[in-house]
Amino acid sequence: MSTQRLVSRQDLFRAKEAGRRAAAAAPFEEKVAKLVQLQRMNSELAQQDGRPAKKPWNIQIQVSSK
Amino acid sequence: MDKTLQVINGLEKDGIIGKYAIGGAIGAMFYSEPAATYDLDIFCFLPQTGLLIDLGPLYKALADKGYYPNEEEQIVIEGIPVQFLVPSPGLAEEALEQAVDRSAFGVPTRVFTYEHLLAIMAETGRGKDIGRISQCLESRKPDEGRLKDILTRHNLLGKWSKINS
Repeated sequence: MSTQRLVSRQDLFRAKEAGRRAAAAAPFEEKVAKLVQLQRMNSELAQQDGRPAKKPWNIQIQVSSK
Repeated sequence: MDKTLQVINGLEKDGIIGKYAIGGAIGAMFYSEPAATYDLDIFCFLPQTGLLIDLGPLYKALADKGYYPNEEEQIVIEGIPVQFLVPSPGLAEEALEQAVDRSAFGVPTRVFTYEHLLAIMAETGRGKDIGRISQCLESRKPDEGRLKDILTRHNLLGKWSKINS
């Protein structure tokens, strides 16, 4: 069985755009959860690089699953 | 974040701050995909004496609740650094006046309109603002008529075209 999966660059850009639109349409609460994940990742990378790191938000987030 | 917004709503209810709305990157997040940011920008009207704005009553009210400014002059409220900003006359003031009601984590709040947020990013025009404009536009289209009206009235059409060319 072939493992090739041929796609054009335009297909990839379209898929990426669709992903961004979906991310924008997500509930605000989910976006805040993602933001805190981003902050934690940034903080870890900064620490590994020896750069000053800002503290991620210290909050509990409960995102209801629908 | 619900607790943070409840504290801010309490400040407005008690008359410590006037009408407030969320702006900045968190405001934009109500409309577009999330982007890394660390502070919550709260634009609000504050009691003013001549040209000077008195932050004393706000800081005292928050200190009474156990919230104090950090080294960046933000006040950490329930785990979130909050920056209180007085809107400058013109675009930001209009954005606050026309802010829309929203709910976040079940708590009522107010947010700048998407078109006002984009116009403010163009007006501010820092590298991160310009990057954020394209990120926003890729994830959600604004109301073109409304955006054009705001940009025209605040003499930002040329700047907007240059940023998006």
